[in-house]
Amino acid sequence: MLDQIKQQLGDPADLLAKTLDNGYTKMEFCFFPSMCDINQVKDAIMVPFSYRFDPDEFRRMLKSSPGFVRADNPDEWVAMLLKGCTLIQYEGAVYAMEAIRKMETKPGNTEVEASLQGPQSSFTEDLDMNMNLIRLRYNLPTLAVEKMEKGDVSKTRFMILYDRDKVDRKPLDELHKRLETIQMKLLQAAGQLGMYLGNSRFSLFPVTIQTERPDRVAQFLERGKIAIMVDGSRFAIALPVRFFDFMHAMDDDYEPFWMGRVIILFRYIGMLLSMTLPSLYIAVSSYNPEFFRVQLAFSIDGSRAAVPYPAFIEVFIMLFMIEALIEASIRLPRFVGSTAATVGGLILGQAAQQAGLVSSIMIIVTSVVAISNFVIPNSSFSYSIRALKYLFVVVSIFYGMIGVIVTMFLVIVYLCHLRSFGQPYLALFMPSEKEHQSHKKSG
Amino acid sequence: MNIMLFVPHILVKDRFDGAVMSLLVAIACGSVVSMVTIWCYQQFPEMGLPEILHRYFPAWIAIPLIVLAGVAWSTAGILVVYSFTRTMGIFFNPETNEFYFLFIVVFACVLAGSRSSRSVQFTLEILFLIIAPLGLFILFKAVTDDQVSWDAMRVVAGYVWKAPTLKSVAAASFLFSGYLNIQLFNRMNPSGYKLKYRWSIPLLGAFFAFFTFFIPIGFHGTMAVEHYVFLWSVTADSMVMKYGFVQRVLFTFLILFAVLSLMFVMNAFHCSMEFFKSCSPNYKPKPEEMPVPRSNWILCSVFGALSFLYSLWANEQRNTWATEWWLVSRFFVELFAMFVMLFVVLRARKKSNVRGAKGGSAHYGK
Repeated sequence: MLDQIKQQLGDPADLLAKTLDNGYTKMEFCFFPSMCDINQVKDAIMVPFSYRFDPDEFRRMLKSSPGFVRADNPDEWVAMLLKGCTLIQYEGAVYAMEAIRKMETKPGNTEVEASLQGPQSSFTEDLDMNMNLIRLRYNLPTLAVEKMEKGDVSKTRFMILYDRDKVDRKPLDELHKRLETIQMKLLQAAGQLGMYLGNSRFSLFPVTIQTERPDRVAQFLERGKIAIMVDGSRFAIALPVRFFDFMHAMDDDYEPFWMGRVIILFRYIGMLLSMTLPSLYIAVSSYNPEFFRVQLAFSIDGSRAAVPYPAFIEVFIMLFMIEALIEASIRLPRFVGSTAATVGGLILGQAAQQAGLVSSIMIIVTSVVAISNFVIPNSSFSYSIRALKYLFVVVSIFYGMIGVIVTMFLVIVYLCHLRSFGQPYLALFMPSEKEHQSHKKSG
Repeated sequence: MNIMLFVPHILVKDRFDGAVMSLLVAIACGSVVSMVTIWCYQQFPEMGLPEILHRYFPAWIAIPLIVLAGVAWSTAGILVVYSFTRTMGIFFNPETNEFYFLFIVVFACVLAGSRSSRSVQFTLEILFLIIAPLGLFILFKAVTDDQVSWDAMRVVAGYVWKAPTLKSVAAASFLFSGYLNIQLFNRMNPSGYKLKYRWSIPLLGAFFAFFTFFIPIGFHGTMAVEHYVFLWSVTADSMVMKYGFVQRVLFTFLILFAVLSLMFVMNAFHCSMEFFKSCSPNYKPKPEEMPVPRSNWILCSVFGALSFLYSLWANEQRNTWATEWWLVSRFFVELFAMFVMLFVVLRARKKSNVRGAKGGSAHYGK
C-alpha cells in the first residue's frame, strides 16, 4: 500500500508513511500530520497498537469502531489521505480513520452582521461546527441535510439544508439542476458558490443571500427556504430570497414591533437616498433648479458659485473620493483605518470645499450617500445599491429630473423581472390577492 | 391615466354642451360594460382573451379579433408615449430635443413591456402602491385649496340637462378602461377566483371622473379652463405647498404623471405584444418566461419604432385629433368586445349543457 501511495503522491515531504512494528506484528500506516489531529491518531491507533497491544482486541476495534472504515478500493486511497484520513493496513485489509484536524472549536463572533441584543455567535469556517450551530437552533427531525462536493481542485464539501415538510420543492429542484451544471476549479467562499448558483454573474442584485448568523439561517429554514453551508467559509447561503430579506436585520425581530418597523422604514429611505441623491443633485443644479423652492435653489446655486465646472464632474470627484475611502478602510489594517477616515473625510472634504473644487452642498450629499449606504444590513446588497447610483448619475447627466424618474421605473421593472430560483424577487402579494390591485390602478 | 390623453380637455370643451350629462352617462355605461366583461372573464379562469377566442371561434374569426385588440392596445401605448414626451418636454426640459427625450421613454417602455406577464403585473402593483400616496396627496391638496371656486363648479354642474355628446361620453368612459387588463391578466387568475371589491369600480370611477372634470374648473373658472391644452399640469401648478421644500405641486404631479404614463405604456405594449404573439399557431400562453424570448424584444421594438414614426408625423393638433378619434373608436371596440364575450359565454354554456346531457361533467367556472 505504501509504495503505491508514495508513487501516486510523488512522495511529498509532509507525508508520514511508515511500517510500524511492535514486536508481534506489523502495520502499514500513513497520514499527513499537518492535516490530522495528532492526539486523535495517537489515542485511536498508536496506543492500542503499541503499549496496549492485544491482537484480538485490536482486530475487534478495527471491525467494530465507527471511526474505522474499510477502504478496499486502492483508487480512493489518495483522495482519502488528502481529505485528512489516516490509512492503515493491518493483516492485509486497509482501514481509513477520519481524524481531521479542526481549527475551530467554538463559534465565532458576528462581525459583518453585528447585532445589538441578538445572539452574538456566528458561523465558523468549519462545516461540522456550523452544523452543530444550526441543529442547536433548529431542533426538528424534519431538517434534511444533503452532503455534496464541488471544485475540481479544492474538492470543497458543502451541505444543503432544508426542512423536509416546509420546503418549497420547485426551488429545490432548480437548485439541484443548477448544481449539476456547475463546473469550477476552486470553491473557496460561499459567495462564490452563490454567484455560480444564481446564474446571474451579470445581475445587478444578488439572488442569494449570504449570512453569518445561525439565527437567521434557522429563521430562513423555518420559512421553507434552503440553506447551503460551504466548508471553509464563515457564511451560509440562503435561497430563494426576496428583496425584503436584504433590508431585514435580525435585530428587527428582537425589538418591539413598532421600533422595528420604524427602523425598517428609515432603512428604505436610506436606500433610496443613497441611490438617487447624487443624480438628483445633478438634475436640480443643471436642469431643473425650479424644482425646489426658491430659497433652496438659491442656496444650492450659491454654494456652487466658486465651482468652475458642471455639477456632474463635481459629483464624480466626490463619489470617487468616498468610494476610495470606503475601499481603503476595508483593506487597510485596523490601526491605519481610522487615520484614513479622518484624513479623507474631514480634512479633504473641508479643504476641497474651501478650495472651490466642490460645493458644500455636494459634501453633504456625499456624506448622506455614504452614511445611508451603511444602513443597508446586507453587504452584497449595499454593493448593488452603490453601483446602481452611478447608473442614475449617468442618466441624469443627459436627461435631468425625468431621467431619474425613468431610471427608477426601470429599476423597479428590473427587480420585478428578477427571479430567485423561480420565486419572484419583488412581489408584495401572493397571486390570489393581487388582481384587484392591478385592476383598479388605471382609474 | 386619463389625464394625459386630454380627456379633461375634451370634456371641458363641452362643458356647456352636455359634458356633465356625458359624465353621468359614461359612468353608467362604463360600470355596466366593465362589470359585464369582468363577469364574462370569470367564467373562464386561467384564460386570456386569445385563448378564449381560439377555443370558441375558428381561426379566421379569432385572429382578426385578437389583432383588433392588439392594435387598440398598441395605439393607446403610442399615443400616450407621445403625449407624455410632449408634456415632460414642455414642463421639465423645454430646450431638449424631442426625439432625444422620446428615446429614453421608448427605451424604458420597450424594456419594461417585453418582460413576462407576471413581472409586468408585479411592477404594476408595486408602482401603484408607491404612487398612491402621492396621488391622494395631490387630491387632498386640490380639494382643500382655498383658491378653488366651488361656485364655478356649481355653475357648470347646472348644465346637467344638456344632451350628452358622443365624444365626451367616449372620453369619460375611458376612465373605466382599467378593467381591460383582465383581457390578458385573467390568465393568472386561478379558477374560483372572485374579484373582491367589485362594487368599488363605479364608485371610484365616478369619483375620479368628477374629480378630473370639476377641479380644473374650480381653479381656472368657467371660461378660462378651455385655454389650456395641458389642463391638469396647469391646474397642479396653481397649487402651492407652503412648507414643502418642493414648493410647486406641479412637480409632484409630474412625477405621479410620469410614473403613471410609464406604467400605462408598459402595460399597453405588453398586452398588445402578447396578443400579437398569440396569433401565431404554435403559441402557448406562459405567465413566466425566463429568459425573455426574442419575439418579445422584436414586437416591443416595433412598437417603439412606431412611436417614433408617430411623433415624426404628429404635432399638437394632429395628436389631439388622433386622440379624440382613438377615444371614440376605443369606446366602440370596448362595447363590441363585451358583446363578443357575452356571445362566447352563451355559447360555452350551451356547449357545456350538451356535453352534460351526454354524461360529461364540464362545468364552467362555477
